[in-house]
Amino acid sequence: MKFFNFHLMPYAAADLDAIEKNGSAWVTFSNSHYDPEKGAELYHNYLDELEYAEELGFDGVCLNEHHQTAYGMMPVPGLLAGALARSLKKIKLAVLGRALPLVSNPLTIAEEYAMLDNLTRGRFIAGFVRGIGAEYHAMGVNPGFSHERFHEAHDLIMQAWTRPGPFEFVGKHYHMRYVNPWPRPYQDPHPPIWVPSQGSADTIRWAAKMGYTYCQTLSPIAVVAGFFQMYRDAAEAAGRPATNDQLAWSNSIYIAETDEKALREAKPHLEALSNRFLKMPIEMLLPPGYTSVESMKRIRAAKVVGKVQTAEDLVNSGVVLVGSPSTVREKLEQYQELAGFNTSLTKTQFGTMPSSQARTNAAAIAEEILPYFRAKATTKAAAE
Amino acid sequence: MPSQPETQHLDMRGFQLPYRRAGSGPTVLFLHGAGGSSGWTPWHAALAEQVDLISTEHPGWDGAETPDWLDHTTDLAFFYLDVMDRLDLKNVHLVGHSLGGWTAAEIAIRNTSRLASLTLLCAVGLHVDGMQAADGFLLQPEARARSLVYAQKHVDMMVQRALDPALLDQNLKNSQIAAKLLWQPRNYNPQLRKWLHRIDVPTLLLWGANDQVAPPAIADAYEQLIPNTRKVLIDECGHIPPMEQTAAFLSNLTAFVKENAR
Repeated sequence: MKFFNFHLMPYAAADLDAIEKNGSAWVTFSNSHYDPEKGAELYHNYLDELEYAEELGFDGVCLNEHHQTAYGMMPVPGLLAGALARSLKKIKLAVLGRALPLVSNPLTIAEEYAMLDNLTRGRFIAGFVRGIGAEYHAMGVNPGFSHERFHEAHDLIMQAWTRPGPFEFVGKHYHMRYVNPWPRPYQDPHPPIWVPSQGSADTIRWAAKMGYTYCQTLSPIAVVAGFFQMYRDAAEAAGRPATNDQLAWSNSIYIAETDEKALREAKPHLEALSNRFLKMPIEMLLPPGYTSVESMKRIRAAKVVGKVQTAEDLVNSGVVLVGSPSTVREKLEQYQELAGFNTSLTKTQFGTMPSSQARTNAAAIAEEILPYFRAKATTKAAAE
Repeated sequence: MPSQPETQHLDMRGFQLPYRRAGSGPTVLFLHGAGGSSGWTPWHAALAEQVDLISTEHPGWDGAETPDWLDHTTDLAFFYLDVMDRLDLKNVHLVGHSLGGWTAAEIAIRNTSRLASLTLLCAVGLHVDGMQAADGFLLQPEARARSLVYAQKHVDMMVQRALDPALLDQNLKNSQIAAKLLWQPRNYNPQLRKWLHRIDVPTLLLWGANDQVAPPAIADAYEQLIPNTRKVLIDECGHIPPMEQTAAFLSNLTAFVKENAR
């Protein structure tokens, strides 16, 4: 199994009571709560953590994009990826992703990703997402055209990377007289495409059909297993059977000497993430048109949006892995067996966790977890 | 009261437009707002006692299918220009509520040859600097209901309607197509104000004095930009005058229609 260190870069200095009072950390949570001195400190700590991940032996790092929120301070992930493209010397760099429908000219994303692919000499992974519903409130983009714009922007970017320019692109939403971006991607024909989602059936089937790596965001492992099976089935149906290398599970891992100690230390930060930073009303999460009426009804009926979850709930349902090294090894092995994935996108810092604690956690994971799964992968490869 | 008219369908190049028509006298074409047509309610019946009322369900709303050509409010405007041609309506009193009002204004800047008058009822479509309008897409059901009406007694009913499982499909469907037309720019077309001077039929601006969704500042802006207007603010009334102040809505509208009947 490959381990990527995924950072959300939360504004960990946030006043959690103020978020609770506002009802959400997104869109309407006033940026007067942002203290630039604290924010600058956090940015540098977080970049240090991701550089440390290379030292520790992670296979890569992941960034992502969110807007107008204390949940994550990466409205422009390419900027941070640019910094990391110079400091990381060996491991992969993934932006998961840019939200394609939010831009009025997707060529800017083709250009940005191609630059990152050149700067890393081909160690870049290109993530394509639609963005969560809140981004459509925050960015003034019509959710009713989200699917159309995603697919059209995807087509434009892929053509920009693979067809010799200049050529003309005429779609419904994007009209480009000249498509001829410099630089071209370093990797031939283009960087690997990873598609993260909350579990939209449309997205899973599309990623499978295209052969793109599918990344499942925070979900109980039983649900993840169902989504990954949906992916394998769709890939099979499309005539391009998938391997588990195409499936990545996004999680949080926290380890300490004992299960009790790990839970005690992780609890406030997990609950800050789950019940404060992630909290939003359904009107914000699912603006009309963002998903089909059928999906909208399913999600409403599940009544999971806005549900308060304790750290224990998150551990028990297998959303996160918290415990002693042996507990986490056993559970991860069991989850891998159950759901079938060969990549773990692991947050070592989450919620309000201070950097010192996050670094200790990352180092412990590198020492106790990574070698076990690496040896296992080697043994398996040798056996095959 | 006349019995409820049957829903008919008008074939528009393959798209079946649901509509109801009843009454006699001057023809009123009523374009509903983003919440949907509400079917044929007591105020429709009361209005149909005095006029020839045509009430449609817009493409994408309620019982109508969602056509793939509907991306913008101006598409809806051209569609209704086609509808008036198809029905060969003459001397029409075009009445539009909220989004329907914006649509009616988009129709009237393009062609008034079939119109006798225009009524914008709590219409959106224009942006007014400094205006504070409620964000119906972000508000939760109770706050959203409060933004739509003046009197608390209506709030409970509105919340109930918003949460009624039997209406869930229809409410979700309506909100999807509404978002497509209203989301960005939020509730307006920046190009519209440039052409409102073209409207050459008498125009009634009929508004809830307490409208928080389309604040009366929008009525003021339409008043400045359309040449021949009469503005009437209805007291103790939010965004839905036909429901909240039925009598005042009916009397103002029918008086204006009769004055301008040809």
